[in-house]
Amino acid sequence: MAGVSPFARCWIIACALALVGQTPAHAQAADEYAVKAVFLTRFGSFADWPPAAFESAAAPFNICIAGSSSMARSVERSARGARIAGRGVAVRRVGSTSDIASCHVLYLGAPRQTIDDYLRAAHGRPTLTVTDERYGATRGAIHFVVVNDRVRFHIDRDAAQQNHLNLSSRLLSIALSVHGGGAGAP
Amino acid sequence: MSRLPITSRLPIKTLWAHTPLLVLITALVLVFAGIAGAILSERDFRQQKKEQAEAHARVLAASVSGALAFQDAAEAQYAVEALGANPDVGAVGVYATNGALFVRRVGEEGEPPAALAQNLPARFDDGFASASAPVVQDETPLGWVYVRLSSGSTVARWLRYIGVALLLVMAALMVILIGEAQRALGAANAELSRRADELAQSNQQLSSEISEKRKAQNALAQAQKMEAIGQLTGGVAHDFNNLLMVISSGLRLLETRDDENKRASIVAAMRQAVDRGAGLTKQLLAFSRRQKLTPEVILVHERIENLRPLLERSLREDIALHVRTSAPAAAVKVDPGQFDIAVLNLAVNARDAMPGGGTLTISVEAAGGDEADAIAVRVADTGQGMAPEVQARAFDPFFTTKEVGKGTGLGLSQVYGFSMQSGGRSEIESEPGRGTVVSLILPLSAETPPPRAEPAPEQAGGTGAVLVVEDDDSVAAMVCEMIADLGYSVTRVPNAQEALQQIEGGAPVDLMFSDIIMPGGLNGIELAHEVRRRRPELPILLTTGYGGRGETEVQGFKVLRKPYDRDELGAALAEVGA
Repeated sequence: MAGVSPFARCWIIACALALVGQTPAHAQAADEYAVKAVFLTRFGSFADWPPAAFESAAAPFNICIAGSSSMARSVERSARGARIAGRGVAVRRVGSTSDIASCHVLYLGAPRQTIDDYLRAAHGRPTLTVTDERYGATRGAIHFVVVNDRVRFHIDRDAAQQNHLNLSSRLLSIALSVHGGGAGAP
Repeated sequence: MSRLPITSRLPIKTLWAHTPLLVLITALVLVFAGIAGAILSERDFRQQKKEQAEAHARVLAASVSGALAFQDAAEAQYAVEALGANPDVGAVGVYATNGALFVRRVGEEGEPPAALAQNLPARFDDGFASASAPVVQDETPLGWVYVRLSSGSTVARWLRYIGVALLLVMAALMVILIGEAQRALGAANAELSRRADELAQSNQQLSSEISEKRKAQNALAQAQKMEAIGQLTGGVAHDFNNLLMVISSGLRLLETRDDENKRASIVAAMRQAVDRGAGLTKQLLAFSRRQKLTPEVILVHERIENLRPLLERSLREDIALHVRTSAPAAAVKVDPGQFDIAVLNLAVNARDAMPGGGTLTISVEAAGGDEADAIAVRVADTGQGMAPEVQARAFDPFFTTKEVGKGTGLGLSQVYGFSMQSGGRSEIESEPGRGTVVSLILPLSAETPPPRAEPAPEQAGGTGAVLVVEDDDSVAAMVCEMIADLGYSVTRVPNAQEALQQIEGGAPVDLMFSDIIMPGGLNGIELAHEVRRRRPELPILLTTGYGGRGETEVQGFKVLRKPYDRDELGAALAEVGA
């Protein structure tokens, strides 16, 4: 396992943590967090990012976590060493809508009314919004669900497009559902 | 006979000498080229398959990246199965970044590797090309895919190679076949030239044998002639003794007898004896002349009549000779001497076949049958005849039934050879106890024999002065007597020198009569040339006792052959002086 990538190592650690000294319920939750964290670090790779999305050539790719600190930890773990759009990945915790200016992926693990605020704040910015059924039915561009004990997601293509993001067909093909035709895509 | 010209065969021979090597090299080159072609083709094919496998792996890697990134096994499986729609695709595996198998497809040939955590180089083994590709999405490694491709039906591939191999073998066989054919051709060529050499050799041998045979035949002809002369010699010597006896006793009687009548009858007998002797010597000279076969047109009947005295000498008194002719004008073109010898040989054989006496019949008649243009000379005896086995070998040279020392066995073979050379043939009909008939069958000639010299006028006389040049006194006395008797005046000189002095000295000479052979100084012919130079108008007559070829003229001078009598001398002098 000498050639195993850092990402793979995290994945293994996550699995190991999930198996060691956890109740099944907790284990499931921890596993769910870990999977979602991995997914969050991967979504960035399946979207086209306009140059305007980054402040400078050296600016990192920011994955922002709003609300859920356990998710933030998981993502910090899974994003270690990862690169998206030719940049290093930074994980940021955001507490208010004013903090999302430089977020590229924004996970909304917050109460519903806050989610709506965040979505409104992110509207028109180059930010991929990710919501979770765990925190209500309000959907961003990507919406996590758990189906048959597996983490899946819905995609609202129009929402992504409104934020000037074009999602890869490879991502679309994995989604449980794709809403919107993506008309007017650049 | 020249050797057959065989020139152009050597270069061909050397060219084809290398043919087997050339053919072998060509065949080997073909086979190696075929093998190299097959190897290259196979390598190319494998490379192509590997590239194909790599392409499939890259396509799969691209299409499963999403599924692998978000752990959608169903979607990944769907992509894998979609790839499996290609019948060449065998086992397929999709692996996570840690190398764990994510989804797989089991091919007919087997399963994909259980784990794959690195990129494997494309490879080809056991008819399958395999390749792997990393699954990467925007620089993020997501895992690996592995694809195995069947290279198609092995049987079909091998069949293709076998087809090519068969073509190659056919080509090699063709080359070998052509080479073999060329080699056979070369061998046949060599055989042909060897045969030609042999032919030339045997040709040479044959021609040398022919010339040997010709020499032998010439020797044989001479031997046959000597044989005939030998046969004659006994009888001739006896005859000459008789003649000499007549002359010697006649001379003795003339010395003692005075009675004119008696003397006249004695002289007549002596003259008759001399005539017979002269005839005999003429025949002998004709015989002894060594001559080639020089065919002349002769009248058969006449020739045999002329031969009669010789034949009679050859036979014994108890044998009667009959000559019968039913074709008196028959002319044939043969060598007269050989003809005489042949007839003589037959007569001698007939004589020896009749030890107790009998009748010898020589007949000249048309050959009859379908040989209308031939004449048969048959010599028949009433002797003991021949047994069939003797008859079968009678014409063979050296075959004889006579005692040792009495016959050479060449007689009948001469007859046979003569008849064949003359364009005819010879036959024997014989029965023991009833005699033998040997026939010489000769083709008739359309030509007519040359006219015979006209007989000299009887009792030719002449006038004028004759200068006789003769070294032998007794001969000179006789000759001078005869010339004087013919009415000429005679002066005799013993040699050429004196003859020239006489003529230079202005002695009255109207004709010179000179012997050819004279001792010392000029011979008769040289003298004649000298005299002609000085007095071209002076008639000259020469004489000689040598046989020569029986010419009646030598270098433009008339020659009188010895022996001659008064009448012949008179005729010759008259002819020259005229």
